Amino acid sequence: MPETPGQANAPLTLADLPPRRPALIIEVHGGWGMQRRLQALGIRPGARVTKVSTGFRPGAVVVGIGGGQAALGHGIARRVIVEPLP
Amino acid sequence: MKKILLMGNPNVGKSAVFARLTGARVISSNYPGTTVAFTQGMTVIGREKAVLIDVPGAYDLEPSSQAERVAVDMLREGDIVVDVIDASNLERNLALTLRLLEQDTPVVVALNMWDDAAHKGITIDAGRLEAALGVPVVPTVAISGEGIKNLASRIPEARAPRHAARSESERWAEIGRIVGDVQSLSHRHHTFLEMLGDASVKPPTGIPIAVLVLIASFGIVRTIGEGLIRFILDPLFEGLWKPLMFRLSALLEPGTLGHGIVIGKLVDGDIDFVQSFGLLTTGLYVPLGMVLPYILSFYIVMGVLEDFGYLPRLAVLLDKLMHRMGLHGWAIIPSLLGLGCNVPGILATRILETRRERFIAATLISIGIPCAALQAMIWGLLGRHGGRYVLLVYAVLFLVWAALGRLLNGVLRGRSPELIMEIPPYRLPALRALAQKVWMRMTAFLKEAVPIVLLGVLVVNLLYFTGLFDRLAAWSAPLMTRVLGLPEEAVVAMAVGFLRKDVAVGMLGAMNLTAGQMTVAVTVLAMFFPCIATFVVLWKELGWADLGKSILIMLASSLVAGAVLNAFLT
Repeated sequence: MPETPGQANAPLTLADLPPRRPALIIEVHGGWGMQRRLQALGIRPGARVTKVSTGFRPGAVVVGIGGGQAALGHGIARRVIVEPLP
Repeated sequence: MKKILLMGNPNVGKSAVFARLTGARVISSNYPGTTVAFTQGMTVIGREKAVLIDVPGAYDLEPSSQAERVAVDMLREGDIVVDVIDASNLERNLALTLRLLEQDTPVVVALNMWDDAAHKGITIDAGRLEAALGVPVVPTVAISGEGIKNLASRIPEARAPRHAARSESERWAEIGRIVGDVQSLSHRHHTFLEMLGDASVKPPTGIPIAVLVLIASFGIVRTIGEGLIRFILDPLFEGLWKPLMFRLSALLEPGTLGHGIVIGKLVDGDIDFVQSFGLLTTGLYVPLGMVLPYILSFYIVMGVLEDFGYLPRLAVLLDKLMHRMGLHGWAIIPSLLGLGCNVPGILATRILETRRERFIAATLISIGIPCAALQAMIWGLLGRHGGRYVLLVYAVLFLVWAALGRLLNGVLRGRSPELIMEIPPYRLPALRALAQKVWMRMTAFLKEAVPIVLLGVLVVNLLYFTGLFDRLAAWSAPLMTRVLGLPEEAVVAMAVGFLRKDVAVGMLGAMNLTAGQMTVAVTVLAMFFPCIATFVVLWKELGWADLGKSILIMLASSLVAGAVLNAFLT
């Protein structure tokens, strides 16, 4: 898994996405249980998200999704691959 | 009798719908996971009586926490499901709805939070949604009662369309199709509450906001609590109750067993509500005159924070920190609830995913989180020696809480899962619901606490009169005096702490301890053992083996903390 964000070729994750930036979820890495729990909040490939914030050092990530918001631990946010939208 | 289940995602207002349909009082809050066990009540549907069950929220029919497991197990027993969905978040909510429509149980959909959706610029065509799902769909605003009559009248029309089972991707495709068909969005600007919501989770603004909220909460709890005591309860007890007690005292004659139990001992010929220790003096003054005002003020402030939706945002800010203790941010919510009473705090740990997390969180709550009753007594009695001693007790408890968390995280096998949590929008609390919640928590305190406080006072008097008091004190003298620097009688207070810790602090207050001794004693008392109510709930949630471990940790850490504090203060 790429540790340095913004490297050439390294896929962009929800953790690296700058605040207020809308993006499209491309892929979610993780076990079946985690995928399911993320899906329950609407976080699944093809969904549109807007980043709200990242916590300190680095902490939980908050995203706007559907009509609401969801918080993900940093480790999980790094496993959600996104493509920024204009 | 028919069983009707209220099901839906967490935090969509199931408990509010339940309260409307049954007239029963239930606690609802603005964060997912308020209901962790089912509640049932009676309602009338058509002309028939029916049992209505408020099921804990679930995102799915495959459980990932204990609270969700309760929901899935209930589904098998229901005759009708009322699927409550959040109209402002249709897409996510339909995932569970479609799963329910694949089952054999007839379903009615309550399209709740209809007002919220309108504020967000979301319009849903309920008729088209009804056609798309094949079951009745009724728009409701449970918190104000709008649409509830209509919902009740349409429950008999519940249908089971028995959709063919879909794969996850087929289900999401279907949801996308339905949402596109029935929902239209109009553009609108961010509201003030939304901007405030975002500012509360972004660290540069969120941390100052958190500090402010905590200081303000603490200040308000103290101001209301102290105000009630000074202006209402003390005048009542001193002016009205005391003269009555004096008459009773003369009737019973000081020195007799009856006088000792009912009034207690006279201090320089006077009844002292803290020191006399009779059933009708200290036994009533501790729960009603000292603790109740703080219970009321704590639950008012807590209720506002809960219903406004602040707690999940605090969970986000503290997520990183809580990971060091083997927990994630969500665990802060049970911990804060524990500041009122440890019992609901420990019950709320059911929203945590793993057994390991629940063990750590429950143990830390019973060691490091003093309940409101205990805190009220600490402020009342230790506070007389100066606020810095009270502050010291809080500081020690916090340090133990944090250090023990890190230790347990290092020692216990396994890893803690990561935070995955829905963040509800900020909402202005509905005053009626808030008042009802505070009222319920107050009456629960009165019903559960007062009898045990009276029992505690009775036990103390019996120990004293039978001479067991002295034997217990002599037996524990080495530990009490050498290690903790306390008079040997303090052991009786510790023993009474098993019944209620507020009574125990009351006993310590009657012993003329120095400020340092009192500080050591209340710190040890807070940590060393759960009170009986907490003990029972810990046993139910953890089982004997883990309860045993948890109690060993409590005993060990309280002795260490007490000994260190003693060495430092004397």
